[in-house]
Amino acid sequence: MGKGEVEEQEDVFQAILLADNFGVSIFGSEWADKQNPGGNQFLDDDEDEGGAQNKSKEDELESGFTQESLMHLGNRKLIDYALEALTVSGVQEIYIFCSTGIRGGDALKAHIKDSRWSDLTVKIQVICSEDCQSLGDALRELDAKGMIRNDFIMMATAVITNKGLKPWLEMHRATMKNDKGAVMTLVHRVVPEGHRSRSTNSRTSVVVDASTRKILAYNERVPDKRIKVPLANIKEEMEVYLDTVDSGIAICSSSVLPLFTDNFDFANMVDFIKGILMNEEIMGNTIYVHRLEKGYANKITDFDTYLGISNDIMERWTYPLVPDMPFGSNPDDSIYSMNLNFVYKVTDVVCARNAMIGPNVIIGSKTKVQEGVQIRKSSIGNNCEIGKNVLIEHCQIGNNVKIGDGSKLCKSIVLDGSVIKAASIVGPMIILAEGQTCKIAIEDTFEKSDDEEESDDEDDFKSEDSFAPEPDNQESDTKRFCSEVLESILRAFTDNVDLDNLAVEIHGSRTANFMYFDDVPNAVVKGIIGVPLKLYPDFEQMPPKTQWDKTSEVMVRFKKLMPQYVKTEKAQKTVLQALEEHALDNAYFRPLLMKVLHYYYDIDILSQEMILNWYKTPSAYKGAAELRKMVEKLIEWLETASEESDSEEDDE
Amino acid sequence: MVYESKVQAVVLAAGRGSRMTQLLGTTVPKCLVPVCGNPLVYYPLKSLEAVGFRGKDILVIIQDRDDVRRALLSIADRLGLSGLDILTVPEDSEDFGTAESIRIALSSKKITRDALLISCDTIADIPFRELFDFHEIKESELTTLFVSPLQIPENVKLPGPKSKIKQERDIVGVKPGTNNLVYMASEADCEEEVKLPVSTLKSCPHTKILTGLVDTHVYLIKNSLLNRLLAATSERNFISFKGEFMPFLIQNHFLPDFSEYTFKFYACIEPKYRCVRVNSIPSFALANKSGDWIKDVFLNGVIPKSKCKIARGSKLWGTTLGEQCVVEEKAKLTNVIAMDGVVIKAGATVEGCILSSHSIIGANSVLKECLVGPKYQIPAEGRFTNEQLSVMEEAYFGD
Repeated sequence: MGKGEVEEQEDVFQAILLADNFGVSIFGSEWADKQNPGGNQFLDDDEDEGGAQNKSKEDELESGFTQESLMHLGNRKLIDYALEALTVSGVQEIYIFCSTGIRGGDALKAHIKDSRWSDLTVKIQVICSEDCQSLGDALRELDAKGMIRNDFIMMATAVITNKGLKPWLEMHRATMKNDKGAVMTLVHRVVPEGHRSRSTNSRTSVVVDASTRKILAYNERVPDKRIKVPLANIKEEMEVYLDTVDSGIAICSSSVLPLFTDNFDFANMVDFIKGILMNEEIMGNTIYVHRLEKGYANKITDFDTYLGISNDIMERWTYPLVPDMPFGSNPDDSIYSMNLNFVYKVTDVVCARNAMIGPNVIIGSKTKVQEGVQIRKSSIGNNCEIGKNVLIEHCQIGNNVKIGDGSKLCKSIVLDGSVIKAASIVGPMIILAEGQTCKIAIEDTFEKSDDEEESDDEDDFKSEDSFAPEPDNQESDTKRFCSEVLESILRAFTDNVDLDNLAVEIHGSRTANFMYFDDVPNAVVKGIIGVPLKLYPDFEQMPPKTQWDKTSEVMVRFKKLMPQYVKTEKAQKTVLQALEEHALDNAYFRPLLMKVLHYYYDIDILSQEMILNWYKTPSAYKGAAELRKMVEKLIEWLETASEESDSEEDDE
Repeated sequence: MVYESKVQAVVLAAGRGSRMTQLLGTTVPKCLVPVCGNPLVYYPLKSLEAVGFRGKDILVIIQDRDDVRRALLSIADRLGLSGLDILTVPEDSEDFGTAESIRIALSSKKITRDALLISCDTIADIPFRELFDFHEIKESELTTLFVSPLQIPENVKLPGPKSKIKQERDIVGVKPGTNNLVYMASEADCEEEVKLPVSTLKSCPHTKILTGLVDTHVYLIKNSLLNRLLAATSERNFISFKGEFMPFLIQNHFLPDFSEYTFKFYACIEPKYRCVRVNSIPSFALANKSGDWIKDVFLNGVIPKSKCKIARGSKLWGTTLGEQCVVEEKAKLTNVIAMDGVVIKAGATVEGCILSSHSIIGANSVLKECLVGPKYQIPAEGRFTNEQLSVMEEAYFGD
């Protein structure tokens, strides 16, 4: 877009605010499951009970957890922080995108209607969608609606910032004057590793051109050994950032939405950034990054950052977004006053004389705190009753919560209206649902008291998150896609179809079934391994030697196909997982697994590191442990190999 | 000046020029390659002399060859560097690495103080004052010096088969603000991509990577750290100082388990100054074409006349001749760089060529943009354009 156009247009300052994170909750998998209970269903994979799933989902939402953006943070709603930042910066139109459907949307709308936000001249519109699985889907939908006409601010879930956004928009526009292809400026804040408000999962590395801050290379996870920058991209002066985190704020050119529409496999920001960088030479689009060294801009990404940022707020790093400043939703909100040690209280709080409160504590209106209570680094809502000798550390407690005498709460979130019985122990890392009554909740026995029947699956599920498949609502699509790919590969094998044509066919199936690129490796591996099964009806009865010969024949035939799909560590993970699933489903395959792994290691599809990783990550599937035992030899061999290569590495 | 009392200069001049074998063959040692009328090793010695080093403070490490020793002594005479210390490394062994040279010097107690290492192929207007001050202020253990590369004049073309002149870039990573040295590599060592080691970057999570500067191969180094090179021999046999030992040090001094050594490495960055490193044929051509700059910095404005026989009626344009060259009648030389003992027979026309030592250009031959190897004889009436002409000896094609 030329600069002339920008100025000619009625320059409305627009922003997109994402109210949730598309099924990936900042509060961990339990939360996501609660919001999206269908996700668990992958364990019993043969039922087709879409209807039932939907129903249970609605039930859950009704009774269970709230919309994520309406969670408490410093006794305000999360979304209020983002709305404050946007409105203060002079944003004129705010589109809140909510992927939890009508229910989540209604809650949001109600919150905005009841609050000060509706009094402002700012246009705030909540857009609900139930089909959106990803950020990409959301932006494509927004593009179709045609509401965003200008450069805009995109803000992710739960962003807290005290910086004005307008200067960043100006900065991005100045960049666009020099580089017509500039589509986005990411705001990265300097947060050194190990800081409380930096997630341990946040391991991005960015290489930028020092003079323009244009991104030259981007890794969402820092590789273990080396960060690679192609010589062709080298600039005279570059900078490498490992000390920044994505603040969740992106300043976007108006062309961002059409770019998402054109590239329907962009699912999230990482896809977008990588896609743009990869095609920079062809498309001419570029992404910039703003390194924020002063001022606050941070995003809650998980439990730890939630607690960390809540402390940042109480210690006033986010000033003026602090508890005792009047901002946010309700005009009749109680007024907090700050006391020593960052203790914030409303005047009507009743506190026992010997209660030890602070540092970093906020206590809401009409809450009663009994004798002998200790509260540290926590926030407690309105109308709570805290019994005698209760210990609360690193907790976020909602309104109307009753905590019985002698309970201990640590590193947990307790939502509105919960009741915790006397002498309970809660935490760490527990989220108590609204209105729940709880006796004991330590991490391993999460919610046992309430959902006895669910708990088994629940426990299994938790221990293996790294290798559990993503909760997938499109089970049937995936299945159809897998079987189509299998058919294609089978035909390619028997009719000697060219690999290029096969790739085109697989691409076609993927598009037709609305699959992402990440889904392909799984289908391809299962397809290749599954060919002999389809080809020979009595395959499972054949002697192992013949089985291996047949299987390896197929693998060799398609060995050139794999590298196309398995380029990233994530893809390798998918491959390993697919092989594991296949082995668990088919007894014949178990003895072969070691050879298959070895083969894929030899042709550089799987790295030793990923295989070792997989081996070391326990899985809750039945028989998974036995399976790992069967490949022990290979692992031993790999480990010695890895030692050797380590020493080689040193010798460089 | 005061430097010499603290610091000993070590000129590393034992290199063989493995990247310019077509030019040098086995006959010419790298440190004697003529650049603007002087052998290469003259330039670092001149820099040292200019800043006040005396002969006894300078150690030159050379190959064990009489011609090198003689040339070196004559340069020392000219510069008034009496008492220059010379250490020889065996001539017959394979290309002797810089780290190996230094190790020999250390074990024979030739280096006893903190050292200023300087490579013989560096032609640079070294900002000694800035370098030494920086080194002192930072209390550095090892300071490297980065300056701007000498610009390639537009009219310089590379003789031999057509290829673009490209200077190899040095890549250096420093911590912004403090200039701690985080990473060092040269473009030649990277294949398709620069590979930044994550382990060091984690210790310095905000790193500036500079690629527009050139490593002068001038290092100020503490004696204790040099001894580390000796100590490390038991672990690893370092061959190259820059290519192996320095990366080893840099990578390790960020690791926590190396804490017994409190290494402090810095990069002194002075983009106002310029440098060319004569280690390849393009840089050799470049240095010889940059007479104006070299003349101003090193030669008080005069390029020494070499003792050559130039017949009347020959025409020379933009040409540098080495010692003992012979140019016969009616020869026409345009933009030619001739090394020592080149003979150009009558009526030959030579344009934009590099003529290596003791090559003979036949009568009435026409040479354009060629690279003529050592002792190579161009037949009379020969016609060559854009070719590399050298005696087919395996050793010449090592690269």
